[in-house]
Amino acid sequence: MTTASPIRPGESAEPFDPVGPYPSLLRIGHRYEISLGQRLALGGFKGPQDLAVGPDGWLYVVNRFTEAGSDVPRSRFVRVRADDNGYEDDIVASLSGQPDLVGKETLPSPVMCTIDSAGTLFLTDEHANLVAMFDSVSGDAVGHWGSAGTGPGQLNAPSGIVLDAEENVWVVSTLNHRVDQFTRDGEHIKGFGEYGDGPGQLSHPWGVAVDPITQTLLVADWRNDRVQRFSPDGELLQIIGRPGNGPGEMNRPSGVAVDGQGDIYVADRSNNRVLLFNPRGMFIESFRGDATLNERGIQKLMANLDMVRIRENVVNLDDEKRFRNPTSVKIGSDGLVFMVDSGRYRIQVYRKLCRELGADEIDPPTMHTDPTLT
Amino acid sequence: MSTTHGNGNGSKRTREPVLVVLQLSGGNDFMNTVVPYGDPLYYDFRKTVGISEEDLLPVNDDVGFHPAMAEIKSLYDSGNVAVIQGIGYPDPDRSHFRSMDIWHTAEPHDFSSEGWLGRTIRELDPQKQNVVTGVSFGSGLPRAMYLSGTPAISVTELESYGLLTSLSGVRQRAALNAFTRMYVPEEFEEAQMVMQHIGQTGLDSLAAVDLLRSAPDGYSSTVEYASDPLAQSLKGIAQVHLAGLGTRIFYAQHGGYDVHGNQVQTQAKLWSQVSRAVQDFFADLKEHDASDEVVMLIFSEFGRRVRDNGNGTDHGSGGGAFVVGEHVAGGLYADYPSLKPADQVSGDMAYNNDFRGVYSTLLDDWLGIHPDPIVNGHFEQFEGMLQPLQL
Amino acid sequence: MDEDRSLIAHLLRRAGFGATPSDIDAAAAAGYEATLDDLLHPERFERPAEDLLARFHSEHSDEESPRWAAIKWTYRMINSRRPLEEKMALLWHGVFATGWAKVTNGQMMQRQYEMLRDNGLGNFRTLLQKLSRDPAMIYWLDQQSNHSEAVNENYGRELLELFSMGRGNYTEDDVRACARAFTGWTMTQVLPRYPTGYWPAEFVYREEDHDNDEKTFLGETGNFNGDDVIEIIVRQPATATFVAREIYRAFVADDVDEDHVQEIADAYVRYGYELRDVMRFVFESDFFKHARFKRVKSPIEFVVGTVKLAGEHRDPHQFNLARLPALSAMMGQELLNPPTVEGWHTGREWIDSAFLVERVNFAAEKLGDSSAPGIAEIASRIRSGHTSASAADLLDACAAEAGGVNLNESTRSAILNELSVQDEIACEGPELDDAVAEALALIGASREYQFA
Repeated sequence: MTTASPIRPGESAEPFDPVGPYPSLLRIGHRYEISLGQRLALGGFKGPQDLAVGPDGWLYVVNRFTEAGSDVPRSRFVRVRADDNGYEDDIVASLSGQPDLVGKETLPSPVMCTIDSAGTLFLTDEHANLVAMFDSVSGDAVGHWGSAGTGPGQLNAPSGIVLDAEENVWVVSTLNHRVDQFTRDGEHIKGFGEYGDGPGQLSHPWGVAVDPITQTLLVADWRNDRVQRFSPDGELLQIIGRPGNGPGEMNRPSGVAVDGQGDIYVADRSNNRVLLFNPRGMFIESFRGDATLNERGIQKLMANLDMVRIRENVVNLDDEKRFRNPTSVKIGSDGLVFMVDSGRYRIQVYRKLCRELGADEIDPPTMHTDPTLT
Repeated sequence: MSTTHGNGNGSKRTREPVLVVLQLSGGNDFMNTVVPYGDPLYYDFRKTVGISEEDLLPVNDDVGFHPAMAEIKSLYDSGNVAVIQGIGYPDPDRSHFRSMDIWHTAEPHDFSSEGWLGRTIRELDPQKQNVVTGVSFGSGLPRAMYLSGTPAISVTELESYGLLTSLSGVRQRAALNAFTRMYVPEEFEEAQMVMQHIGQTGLDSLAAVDLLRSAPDGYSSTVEYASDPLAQSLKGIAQVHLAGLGTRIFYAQHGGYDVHGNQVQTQAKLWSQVSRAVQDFFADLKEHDASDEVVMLIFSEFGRRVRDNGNGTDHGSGGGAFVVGEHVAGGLYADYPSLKPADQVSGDMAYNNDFRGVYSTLLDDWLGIHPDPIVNGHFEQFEGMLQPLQL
Repeated sequence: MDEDRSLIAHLLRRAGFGATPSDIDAAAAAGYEATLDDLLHPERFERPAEDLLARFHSEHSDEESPRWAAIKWTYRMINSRRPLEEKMALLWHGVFATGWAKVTNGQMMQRQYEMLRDNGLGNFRTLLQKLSRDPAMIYWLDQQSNHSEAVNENYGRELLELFSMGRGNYTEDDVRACARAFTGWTMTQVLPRYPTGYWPAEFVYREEDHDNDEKTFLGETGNFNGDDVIEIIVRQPATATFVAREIYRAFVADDVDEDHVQEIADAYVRYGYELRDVMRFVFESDFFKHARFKRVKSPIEFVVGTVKLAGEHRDPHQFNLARLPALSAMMGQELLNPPTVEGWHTGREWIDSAFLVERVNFAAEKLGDSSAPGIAEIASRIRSGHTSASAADLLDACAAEAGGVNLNESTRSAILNELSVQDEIACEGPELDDAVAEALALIGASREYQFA
């Protein structure tokens, strides 16, 4: 730690060293781009939980839901991408009734997913207790691994999943309160985590991300209302956030993502917002949602003109823009940030606007605490 | 029991008119089922889910069946399908559940817990002589079949149907023996009315289980039903009917019609299942010389919006129904509702005939019972749509 | 089963949803009065956390869905340490019967349920005041169409007929006056389901749409607003009897004893409509203590009680929770969706052939599962202290452990006749677990088990 910095909520006594590879940024803000998906507009886009940004530019969205009038869980992958008319989409794979998943007739409860450079999707299922793999083009199941249990390397309600630089797979076991590293074929390499609310302990962790700059792991420590950063060997490096709904505070954060500049996005699920922190864990900004009607939404209303009249009687349509239980955030190229607005059956897409500064473009950091400058 | 047992070949069956009601749940898009392709407005409103003329199975110059309905078209061509266009009820409700309630209770204005088929069963079997006068296939008893104090049986699937089914083999048989003794009504010394009632109900249920479980025993057929749940339900209905158990009212359900999205593929799949299952069902009955004893009503709780939403269609009103059977005078009934914007009701086709008119026709002309108390009023019937069964 | 435990089990069945044998032990050790006092004071205990429930059932946990509200409620019935507030919510839900078939909005149904739960042990006056401001109720009975210039009587009529006094205690003029008093009581426009989903509505009072003219209601004349009408309603003797009869049928017996109803009605007046005091009076009365197994369990009581006994769904991660309210619906009681504003027909009408098959099969499946935690617990309790047991002893022990199910002699001999174990069984081995499960399955299939 070389700079004197203001004390921020939740910052640990030994903050993660932000100096080094992270660029200095001139932050301009975020621009809302579009909402993908539409409640009831497509047979497949229902109860989105997470997405993976494919190498082909498609977003692969895990949907988990029940059919109307049924209590039987269903799930499916739907892929979606923006196009000139708003977006296009189709169902990649129904995850119920996959015959290739030996002994598993169905994946009733998928949680999170990721995709490798070859286009293989990796998916966790918290009741089947496995990681399933799908070919993103054909939608075919291509394998699965994982054994249920409470020991290291065993799965117990697996949730967050992410690939590191070597394309090894990190999987969160929510009910084991652990994070484990596996080869792509499911061989256990190592892992860490123990239950508790002390520093470095975890309670029902959910999402996980790899910082592409330092290859450190950020874990959404869901029931402790914080995000913790660990080294790949499980050493605690940083604590971000604390319980609450104030600036930078969290209420059951479910997803975490780190962009190419080390910025940390947190799906602050039960606060119905997404938070942005810089690599030092300083709270920068919160997103409450800016969704606009996309072309599908407009078509929907055109087919239901009495709804248009009803909307005129609604005092404040702003509610419609807001997140409801955003579960996950994923980073795309060119500054795109995809926020999975689970309760609203859509993905809100933002673009981060900033400029990276060279060392000669920024004043010595001590100046930052000069109160006369504010 | 008012009827003799049969062994599946129909020879010992008492000939009685039987009604099968097939519910399409979710709001079937009638506009894409019987398609008004002759009206250019159809293609204006159905830009993305519209079905092109060359794909349709034309009935006349105005309307054609959905391409997945080849078997039903063939039944239609044989004169065995009545299509009731523009069916509905006043002040349409676009909630699935409320609208289904209305169809089930024949009561559009007030809430009621009495099903129209429950009342029908009571009328057909007032002394409750046959515990299987009404049999529903599907998950749970539909409200249409429910009337407090009137027995009606709910079967998910015939093979797994039973009492104490979680127990295995010997143990289940022992448990059923115990059950039989436990539920004997007069065993209780205290004259507890409720205990008596539960006892009688328990024994009725057990009797129904025994009857229905035995239904497939003597059954054989060259018809091979598809494996989907609807086909299996109709197969079960055929088995129960051919066994001569005296069931007069059957119910089956087929879900998935709520095509807000992905309509084209979804509707094609659903209607190909219905079309094949209905054909196989009647072919099976015909093979057993029983096809003229059964009439089937196919309905859905509502139709859908006239204008599509870009990927599907949303809840609307004013739909259509089908009546199928050898005693049906096939053809188109009532007018196809106008698609002109000025004639639409809040973006839907306006209904032109009350569904209770079809119910009344079925009750009066087919089952031979007075319809008015069952459908809560007097409704215009479709004269000549049904010829009574000659016993 | 000794009398103390039998009485405590009775209390826990009625003021709650049944209990495991160890729950009964603990309550019996604390004593009837202390147990009752805790039941009457739910605020002494935490409600079960629901974050894990939503976390592990995300295929259902769409706030939009009324089914999710029913699933959560079922979970609370199983796990809450404040069961009486859930039981009171169930009582009032059956009386002020509102169904999502019409309301459709899950958040509105959830809020109504919470209102009933939070006020169900409070003052009846407050309950009616909150009910009259509840958006789900407003929409269910068309209150939003009740305007000063165009009176819609639906809510005004049902408030008198079904929610307080009962038919025969007021005139058509009173109905009209009541409806006029509630003109202008409406709600904000709900955002339509398309394209992004519902938002809940809030109650609003529109002074400009309220009929401010003089009204005569139940013999009193004044410039009444809705709360004034409620004030008059709650002090009517007919209301006292109505509330008393509903409580009697929900907590005492299906067959109503009018003398005992009158005692409860007197308590309602005596305690100033405070339902907590009324409920204490009921649970302390001799007629309550003697009314064992005099009510047919409602389907949700049947399902929840059976699941509690089997020890299942204590863990929010356990799958298929949604099956429970679905099964209750198949047995004739769909939570948050009663068939009509009259609620469900209870007592013997819960038992119909299709429904009874579901009940018997469900109880036999759950209680016959020797791997279920609650069944294993019962086996281990029977095992402790015994090296062997006769079939008869085993059956009696199981009936006692299952809350003291009072098997008729003919039922008992029917079961004994068919048990796999006919002689002595050794208690140490796994065959005991199996025999316990078999006996419990048959108890669950019995007529007697249908009663609470």
